[in-house]
Amino acid sequence: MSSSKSNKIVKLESSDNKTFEVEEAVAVQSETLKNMVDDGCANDTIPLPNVNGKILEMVLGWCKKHVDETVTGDELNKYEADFLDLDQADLYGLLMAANFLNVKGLLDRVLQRVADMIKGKKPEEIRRIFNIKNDFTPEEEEEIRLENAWAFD
Amino acid sequence: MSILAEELITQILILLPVKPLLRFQCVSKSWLALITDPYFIKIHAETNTQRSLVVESCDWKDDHPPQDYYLVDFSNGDRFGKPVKIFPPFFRPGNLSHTSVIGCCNGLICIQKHGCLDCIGDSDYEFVIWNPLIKKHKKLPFEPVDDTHKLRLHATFGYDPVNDDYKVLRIECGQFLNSDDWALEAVEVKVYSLKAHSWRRVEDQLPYKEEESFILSESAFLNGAFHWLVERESGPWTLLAFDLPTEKFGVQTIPFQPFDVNLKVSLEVLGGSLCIFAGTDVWIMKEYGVANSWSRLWTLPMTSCSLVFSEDGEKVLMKKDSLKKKFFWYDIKKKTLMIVENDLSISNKHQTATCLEGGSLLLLLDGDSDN
Repeated sequence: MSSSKSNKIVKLESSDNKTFEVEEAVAVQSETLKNMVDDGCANDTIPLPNVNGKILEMVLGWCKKHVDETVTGDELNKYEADFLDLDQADLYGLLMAANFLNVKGLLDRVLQRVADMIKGKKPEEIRRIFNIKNDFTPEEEEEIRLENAWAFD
Repeated sequence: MSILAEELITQILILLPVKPLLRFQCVSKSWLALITDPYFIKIHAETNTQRSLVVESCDWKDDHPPQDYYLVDFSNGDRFGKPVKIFPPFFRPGNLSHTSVIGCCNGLICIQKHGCLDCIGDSDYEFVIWNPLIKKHKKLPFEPVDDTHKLRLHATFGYDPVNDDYKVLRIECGQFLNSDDWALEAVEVKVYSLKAHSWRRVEDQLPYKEEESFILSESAFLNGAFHWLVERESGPWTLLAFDLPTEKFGVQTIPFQPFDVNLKVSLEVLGGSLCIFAGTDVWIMKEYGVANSWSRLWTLPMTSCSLVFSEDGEKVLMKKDSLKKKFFWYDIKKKTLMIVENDLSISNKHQTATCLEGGSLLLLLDGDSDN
């Protein structure tokens, strides 16, 4: 096992059966994948049943950009800002993938982006976005609204 | 569209400011439980980087000055938002009493309401702990002054990290008839605990003999303890500390005594260290608890008092000590001043300001709503 890291390739398969090949240095930006590599489980294709191809491609793109030494600080900042300009479905898919794959920098950015997007929203909108059932009775909900009436302006 | 795991939702909620969190309590029962969980509230208060200035503005021309309070947000890269007028729970139009902020901690403000200033002997002191960001407050139970000789209260507010409790310390003192300052005679020290919601006498009373007069500066809260500069008639200035968890007093020497009677001297906390502002000199206690670690930090272009460091730590927000109370940033390296653009001199009135750091959901459950 003396091959240098930069030559090793890691193979990944998304939930919709798309395969991706990336250098190990890129893959280990994901703590989850890093653990697999360290444990010696990364020799065959790693199946990722909870990440679809589109999202996986995005995550790997992020990881690639972050190991690329030719990228300047400013370029990286712009890349990160543009990266998160996604529709809601993709954003949440990305959130879950970043969490599952444990790509720290990406996860923090996505969490902040989601927080920024929802902070002005009403409870009804939140329920729609996250597909949450309202299990309060109308009276219970009204009580909470009255207690904090000013926050609903 | 799948539901996000609770762990992810919590991580998102931690990043939200207080106002949406209050709204989202009615999303669902599980969200309500998440938001009102004491551990969540604690972590949220610790990670929340909201910073505001609480500005008290009053017109000293009149005998009974009306007071206004403003909250000015400056979390966003040290840019000041618009001053928003806020109404403390004591505030009533035409109220002639004087109120003052005695401390700010984790998004909570403690306000003391005095009787009118000219009425010596008035023991009508009330206190309220207020969370202006969620508009809830808790009035402290009334605790009468023990002895009618004891005319003044010196009170201060802080957080006991060991017992996870917020406490108000009050020192009841007799005023030395020849001076206007806090020259103290016999004293009684009491503490209020938010958890117990009651006052009690502190076992360890002030370490000064009765009839020895001394003057206390405004207190500075750091590392779970209150600190004061003490000027005594017999002897040099010392540093007095009261540790909240153990409720014990301690005295420490100050190895320098640059205090000339005409200098304005104050004790402050800046960047996690105790600082003494003596005229235009600023001294810092480099190592907490080590008397010899005091060293002169800067010499300022004018006397002022500091409020807080900027986010990048290169500038200090200060208030100019003159009639037109303007706020300015002092750049430490460049030694330059920059007056705050969004002019916080809300009018020509006298102003004091305190920095409120962190927005907390504390008092969410059992506070009274402001009306």
